[in-house]
Amino acid sequence: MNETEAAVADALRAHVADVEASPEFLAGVAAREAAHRRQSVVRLAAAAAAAAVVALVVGATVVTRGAAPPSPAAPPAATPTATADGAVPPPPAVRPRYEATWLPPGFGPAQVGTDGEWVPDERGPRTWLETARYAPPTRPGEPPRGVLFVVTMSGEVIPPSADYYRTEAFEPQAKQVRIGSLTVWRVRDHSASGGLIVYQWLAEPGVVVDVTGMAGVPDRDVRRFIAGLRRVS
Amino acid sequence: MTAEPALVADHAAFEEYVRGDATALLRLAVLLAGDRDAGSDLAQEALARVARAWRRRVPDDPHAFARTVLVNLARDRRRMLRRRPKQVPFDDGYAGTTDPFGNADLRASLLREVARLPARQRAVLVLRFYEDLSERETAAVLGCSVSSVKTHTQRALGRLRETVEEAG
Repeated sequence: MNETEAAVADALRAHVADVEASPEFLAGVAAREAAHRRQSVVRLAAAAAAAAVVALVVGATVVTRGAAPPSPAAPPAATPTATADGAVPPPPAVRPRYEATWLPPGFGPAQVGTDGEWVPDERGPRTWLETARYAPPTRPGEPPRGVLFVVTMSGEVIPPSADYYRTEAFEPQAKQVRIGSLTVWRVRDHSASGGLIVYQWLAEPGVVVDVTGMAGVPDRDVRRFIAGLRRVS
Repeated sequence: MTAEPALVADHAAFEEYVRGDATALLRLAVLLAGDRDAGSDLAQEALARVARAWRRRVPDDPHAFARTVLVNLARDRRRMLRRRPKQVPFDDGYAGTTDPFGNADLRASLLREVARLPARQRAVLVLRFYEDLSERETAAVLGCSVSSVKTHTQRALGRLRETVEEAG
C-alpha cells in the first residue's frame, strides 16, 4: 500500500471511528422490517383479491356459455344485518380525499396501490413521498393520529393504511402551525437525520397528511403544497 | 434427523447478526453515502432487506450479502438524487476533527475530495481501502470487471494524490 492509499484508508477509518449503531438505529431497522412484512401481506392480499376476481369472471363466463339457468334461490344482495344483540354494524368509514393543486418542482409521481397504499418500486419513478414509510408514533399523548396520505400520479392525495407507516423513529415537536384550515405538526426524525432534518405534518380531525418526503424542499414550497390541498370528498 | 442450518430462517439468529454487524455496516454506509444521516438510512434499509431475504434462506455470508445490498442501495440513491432538487447539507461532518497526531487537516481534505468523487470511484475506494476487499472481490460486489475496478481505483487515487502531496 503506497502513501496515498494508506492516507485514504486512514482518513476513511478515522471518519467513521465514532459511528456506532445506536438503539435508535436498531429500532429503526426493526420498524422497517415490520413495514416490509406488512407490505408483503398487502401484496399477497391484493394478489388473492385479483385471483378471486379472475375466478369470478371466468366462472360467470362458463355459467353463461353453459346456458345454466340462474338459481331461483339465489340470495338477495347483501345488506347490513343486525348482530345477535340487535346492533347494526356501522358502514365502512369514508375517508376524506384531497387534491394537491400544486407540487414542488422536480418531484415525480407516486406509486399507489389499489387500496391506496404506497407501493415502492425500485425500478419505477421515485417520489417526494418515498420517505413516507416513516410515520409518527402513536403512543398516548403524541399527536397526530389518523390516516396518512400519499399523492397519486394525477396529484390526488389519498390515504393508505393508517398502520402502514408507523414507526417509533419520529417524535412530534410541540410546534404547530395553522395554515388555512389545517394544522401543521413538525416532527423530527431520530433514525435518519440526527435532528438535522425537520419533517412536517398536516393534520385535521381524523386525518393526517404525510409530507415527510419534502425534507430538503424549501419551506415556502412545503407551505405552498399544504395551502394548495383541496378536500374533494 | 437434523435440519439443514442454511435453510432455517431463524429470526433470533438474524437479531444476533444485526447486533454484531450493525456498526460495521453503518460505517460502510456512511462512507458510501458521504453523509451520516443518509448512511444511517441506507444501513437500516439494507438490514431490513437482509431480514426479508433471511426469512427465505439464511445467507452464507450475511455481511457480504448486506454489503452488496448496501452498495446497490447507495447506487440507487445517487440516481434518485440526480432527479431531485439539490439539498443543501447542514454540515459536511468533516470539519472540527481533533487529531493527536496532527493528521486532521489531511484527513479532512481527503474526505472532501472523496466526497467529490463520482459514486463508482468512491465505492471502489471504500471497498478497497476501508473494507479491505481485493480487486476481484470489489468487482464482484459492484458487478463490474476487475479491470474496471483497477481503472476506477487509479483515477480516484490520482485525484487524491495531489491532496496528499500538498499536505506532505
